[in-house]
Amino acid sequence: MSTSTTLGGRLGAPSPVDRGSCPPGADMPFLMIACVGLVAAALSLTGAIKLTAAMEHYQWGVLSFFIALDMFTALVVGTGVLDKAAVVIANRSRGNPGLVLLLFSSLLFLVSSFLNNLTAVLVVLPVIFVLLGALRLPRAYVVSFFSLLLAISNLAGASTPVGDFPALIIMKSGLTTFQAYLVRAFPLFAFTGAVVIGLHFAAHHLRRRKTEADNQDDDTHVSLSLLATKYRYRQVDTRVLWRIAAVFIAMFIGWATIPADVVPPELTAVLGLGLAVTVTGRDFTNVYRAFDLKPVLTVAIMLFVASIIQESGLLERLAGQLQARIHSPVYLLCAVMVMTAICSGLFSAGPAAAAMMPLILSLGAPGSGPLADHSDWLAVAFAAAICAGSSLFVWSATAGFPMSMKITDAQLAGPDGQRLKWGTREYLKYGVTHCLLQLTLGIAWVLTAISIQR
Amino acid sequence: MISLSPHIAELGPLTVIATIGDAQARVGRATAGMRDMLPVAPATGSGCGGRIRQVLRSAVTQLPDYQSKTCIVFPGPELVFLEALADLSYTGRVLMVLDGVLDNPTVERIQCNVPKGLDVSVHQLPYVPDRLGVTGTVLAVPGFECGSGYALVTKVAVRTLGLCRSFYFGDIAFLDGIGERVYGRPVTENWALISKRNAFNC
Repeated sequence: MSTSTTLGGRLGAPSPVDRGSCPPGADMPFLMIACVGLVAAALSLTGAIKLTAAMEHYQWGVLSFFIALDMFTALVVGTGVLDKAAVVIANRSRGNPGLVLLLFSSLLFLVSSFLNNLTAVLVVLPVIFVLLGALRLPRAYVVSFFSLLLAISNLAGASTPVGDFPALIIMKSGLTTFQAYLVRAFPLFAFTGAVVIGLHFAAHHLRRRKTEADNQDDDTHVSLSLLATKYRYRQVDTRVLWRIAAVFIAMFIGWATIPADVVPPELTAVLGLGLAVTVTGRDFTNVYRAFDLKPVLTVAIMLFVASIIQESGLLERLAGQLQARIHSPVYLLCAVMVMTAICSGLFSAGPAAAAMMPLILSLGAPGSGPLADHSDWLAVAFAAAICAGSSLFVWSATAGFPMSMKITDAQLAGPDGQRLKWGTREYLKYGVTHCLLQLTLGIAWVLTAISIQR
Repeated sequence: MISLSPHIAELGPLTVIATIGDAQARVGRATAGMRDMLPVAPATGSGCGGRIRQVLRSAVTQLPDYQSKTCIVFPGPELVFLEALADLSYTGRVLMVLDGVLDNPTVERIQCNVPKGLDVSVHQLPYVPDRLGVTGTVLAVPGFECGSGYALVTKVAVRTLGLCRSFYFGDIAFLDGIGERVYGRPVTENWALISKRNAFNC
């Protein structure tokens, strides 16, 4: 098989496929750069901060780590394995809504643990749309299902040190090590994920008892056939996939065994990406094409804001105030977790993680910090709080708004033919539940672990 | 009832009808309400997919010296057409012209879903392929015979023909023969009537 996109059409344009319309909000990072730049310049001119000193705190490592993992995700997606997995799951579920809920959320947890969760969600969504379009499930089910997917992508992202941006910041902070974070965080987030999935599954069964859905067998059968036709000749590039998997395992071993001060983790990520592209022999232009600059710019700005906050010493003063007022380390930890969750909910996970990190570092500072003995658990508690907050509103999570836009575009309809929506208002009830549940479980888990450790 | 528009945009109307026909044949009954879903509904359920494939295969073989044609331009993402070409071991190029409103992930899915052995390149309107060799190229347009020298074809086909007309004077093949035997009632939504004056039937 040979497929290509011909360069140069009649109108002399570049590749037709490259010529996508500008998605809404694409100029947002540039607007943020302008605003943050103006504020930073004003602060520097008034003498409130020193920009040169702030730039010394800038976490270039986190940025390069993020870019390398994002490109690595593009390589994996390019093999077609995620499409295939989603189609297989859709067929295996045979249109059973309960199974659809269980299988897709499990798949998303597995994928988002290691790859960029936004990409994972966007790859799986088209298959889900075809399935839900056929099943014509009630509005309550659809809203619950997408809310579950958002929460699961957040939980999975926090479960490993390479799953999402906040986890990368934690790993790079030196508060914990790769291995220590993985061993402590993965069981917590996997358990929380299982509880969240279980609750949604139970709620679905309760709803089904109340209103028995119409038999949609015919439509489901037709939709599954159409889905199979859409992916009939889509091959998983197993040769490339195995090579990428081998490189990723090597990277994982490198992160887990080589101390960060010997080989920084971002260097392992960048080297791994280079190795993956080389051994797969793939055309690197595909990786460039799949690469989205918008999240990179957003992360770069977040890190700049974080370095300005760090330079201002604002959060260190706040940490001092907290320590002066709350003497018990346990209560202090709870207070910090609640504060972090609220910040993450209001300002989204990335900025909250970058901004709150200095506070967490001062609490876990060796010798002086009240939680210095439990710095590994402090890192997990911070990740749990960030994750809980990022499940609060649609805008809090990285995947929230892109998911909402895709769902609106999909024009899904309920059994009564009414258009289904999933956005800020629809998600709110589930968001508050997810946030409270995750925060409660996180606090209980970390406090139990600390008391056992003592 | 399911909405078929996104499927038609990604697979093409003939492929969607063939797939539904196959699904109905497997289930053993005509799917309820299917006629209301399709702009052009199959008159009979079972066997419809096989019939469409057979007709397309036959149409491709009737393209004059199709194996000597180095390039076939086809408007729309019609998987059954590609399958017919693959079945006949076509070795030339296929230029698939897609609707310009399709988003990038959809175009990538269409590009990846191509039978093995075919050389397919994808263009999105209004960027139609240029440098088409007059003798080695054929524009293949699927549609319904409407009589009086007119045919009902998709809007993508109309736009492709319109954009190519200024510089292409080669063969335009009209893939006919699918008409009344397969389809129940033609509906003009997203379809257009064109004159077949410069085209030949296959």
